[in-house]
Amino acid sequence: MEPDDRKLVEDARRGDATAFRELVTRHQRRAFAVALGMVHDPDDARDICQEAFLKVHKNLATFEGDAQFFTWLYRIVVNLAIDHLRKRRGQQVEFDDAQANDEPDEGGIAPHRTGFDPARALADKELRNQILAALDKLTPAHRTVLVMREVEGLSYQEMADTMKCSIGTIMSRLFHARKKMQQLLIAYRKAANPAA
Amino acid sequence: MKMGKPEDERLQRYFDGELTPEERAQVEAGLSEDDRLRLAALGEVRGLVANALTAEAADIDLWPALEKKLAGGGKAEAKARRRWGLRAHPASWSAGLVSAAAAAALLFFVQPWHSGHPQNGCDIESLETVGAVASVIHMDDAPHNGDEATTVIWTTEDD
Repeated sequence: MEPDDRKLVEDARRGDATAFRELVTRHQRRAFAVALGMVHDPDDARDICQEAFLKVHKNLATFEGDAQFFTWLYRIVVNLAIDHLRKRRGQQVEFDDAQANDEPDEGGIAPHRTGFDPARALADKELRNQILAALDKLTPAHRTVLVMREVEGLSYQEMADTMKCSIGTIMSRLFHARKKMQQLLIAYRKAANPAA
Repeated sequence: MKMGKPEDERLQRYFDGELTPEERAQVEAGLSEDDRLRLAALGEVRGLVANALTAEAADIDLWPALEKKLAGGGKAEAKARRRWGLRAHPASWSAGLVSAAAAAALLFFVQPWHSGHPQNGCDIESLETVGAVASVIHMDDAPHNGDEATTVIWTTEDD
């Protein structure tokens, strides 16, 4: 049976590099997926994850045993990605909800699908590129909640804690992010296959 | 910024599993055909985003670079200690630095020991303190730090 994260953390604390390597191997893909979803650029996402793991390594002694290792790592990744986005955009206003939505609030998720099979996204690089491009068109605040929810399944409360905002704000961001993603993917579908 | 209609909010909370069992039962009892289609659309967006990012991350391997950085971190720290003549005991380093600073201040206020203008952009080029010669280096930080400049006093100790 594989050792659980807690055991690996304990071993890594004692200087066991193999244990820390196992933690990296075990969680790097999820961490990278989250970072990539937020910052779009694979090199930036890689840098963010490496920095997050280095922070984790440096602070292993402070890790509380009753917490989930990935939750801890995940928060570091998200916070580093948020910092990165703020620096990249050179402004904090991107995280201001007053600026986050340039469309009227009327209308929710449309009652029809984009026409893409989600399973196709696993094998179709072109489709993945379109999805990533659509993600990049969202504001950082919208993108962040969408990735936190759809990739990691964080609860509204966990997302609110991570982003230091209210649950209402999280719900609003999620609502508009999903709506925008749906619109972008439908537009892409129509452009790729006008007869559909 | 607000969400859409209250029904949208309730449907989203249902989709995300954020309702109590009683609330879930109420929503399920009142789902329209459009609501079911919206739920399917939400599931599709979720699947597309999650699968795309998961697939992009499939081949990632951070360990080789991390291993180097972890090993390099320790080596770099040791190298910096050697380079700056730092000892394990911070008190001795602090004492040396204080001595160097005091000597530098004295030299600055009394007289440079050469008549020519120093070539390093500082008022003095080097100084001797506690038997060791220290170089004085002017660093122009303007590109990174506005108009700021830094003067480094560099001492070398034999191991």
